[in-house]
Amino acid sequence: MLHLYAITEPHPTAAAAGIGGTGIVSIPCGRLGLVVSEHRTPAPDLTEETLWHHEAVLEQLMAEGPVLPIRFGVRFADAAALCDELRPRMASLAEALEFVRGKVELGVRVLEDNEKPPAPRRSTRSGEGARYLLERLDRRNRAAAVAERLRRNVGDLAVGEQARLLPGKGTLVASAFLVERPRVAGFRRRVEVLERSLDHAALFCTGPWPPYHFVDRPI
Amino acid sequence: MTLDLSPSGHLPEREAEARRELGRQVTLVELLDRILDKGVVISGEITLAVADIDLVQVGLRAVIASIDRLATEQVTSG
Amino acid sequence: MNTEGRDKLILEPTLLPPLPSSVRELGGLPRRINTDPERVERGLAQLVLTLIELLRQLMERQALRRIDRGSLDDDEIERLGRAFMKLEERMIELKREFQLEDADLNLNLGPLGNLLD
Repeated sequence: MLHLYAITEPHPTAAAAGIGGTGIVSIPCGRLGLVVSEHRTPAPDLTEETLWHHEAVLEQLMAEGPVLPIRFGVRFADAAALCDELRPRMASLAEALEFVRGKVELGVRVLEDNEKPPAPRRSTRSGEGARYLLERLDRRNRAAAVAERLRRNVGDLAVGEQARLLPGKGTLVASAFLVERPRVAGFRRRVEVLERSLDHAALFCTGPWPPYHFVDRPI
Repeated sequence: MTLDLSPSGHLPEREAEARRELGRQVTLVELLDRILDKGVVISGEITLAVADIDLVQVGLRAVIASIDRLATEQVTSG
Repeated sequence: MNTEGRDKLILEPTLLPPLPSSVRELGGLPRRINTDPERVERGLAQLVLTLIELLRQLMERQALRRIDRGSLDDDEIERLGRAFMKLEERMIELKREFQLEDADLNLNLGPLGNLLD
């Protein structure tokens, strides 16, 4: 069975071993290349190690040209069936591939300080129901404010942005930015300035990632 | 407790390790968020996901469980 | 091959306040519905609680919007808040009963992303 990594341009790949040491092959399919490794059943397990290995393959591919990462866990028995499956989407996938050429994804995650949330406004209200809602309102407003500051801070350096407010208990904002490679260093400098000015929050920047959030061609 | 990494502060090894561990956890969450949840979706995946639901569920639990073990074994800052 | 992934971190905070130590709290990673017949009950609970959580979020968002606009009086805010608190307690009990976590209460809709995002 074939384990899928990514959609690329149709060229042979020099990417090293796939998960479990199997070979990596690029299967031409029209205007696309489908990068796979072949496995006996059962398919590769889902562990931290296989995930990082999958990611490492993607990064090798990124060194060779534009890459559309495929969600982990896509398996096909048959290369021809896979190519047929993609044929109706060939044009839009090729467009999306072209759009991400020369660009990488950077992630910014702002974690919330869990020790002392700032006092909610109108704190003269003593009822616990009111306090409950006002704390949540404040948290939401803080998340929106941070996302907006981030956007204003780095927006001009990115060609795409996907922001999520309050994606999990500990996180205020998780944002993904599509950035041209030469601008990554400048992006990092800008985000560093923002980080230092944040109160009650900790900002992490990760990357470069394959353009996971930007595989749909923007309209 | 706040960890101050300004040049004048000397950071004890315990706290440095806690900081490194947090960095690893954030990086892992960023990876999982992308690799399991974003990227190109191909319908073969959906068929296989239903058939392999146990594999994905159990495997993911193993990942989360092992990370949790790691987290609770950590020296937390503060 | 580097499988630790540490080299993906290009910026971290200089001052590190106390932060949640569990990865699960950070992420909110959604799951697919469990369709294993042996665990149908848990799969159903997962679906039902997910929908309740969706409704809860919609209602909360609406309540917060109205508070922000000032179109709720103090009494209404207090009563609404208590109702949401009760709902949260009940959800915690139900999650515990069915061994579900926050991250389970989401639906991955494939190309459409997640239900609760």
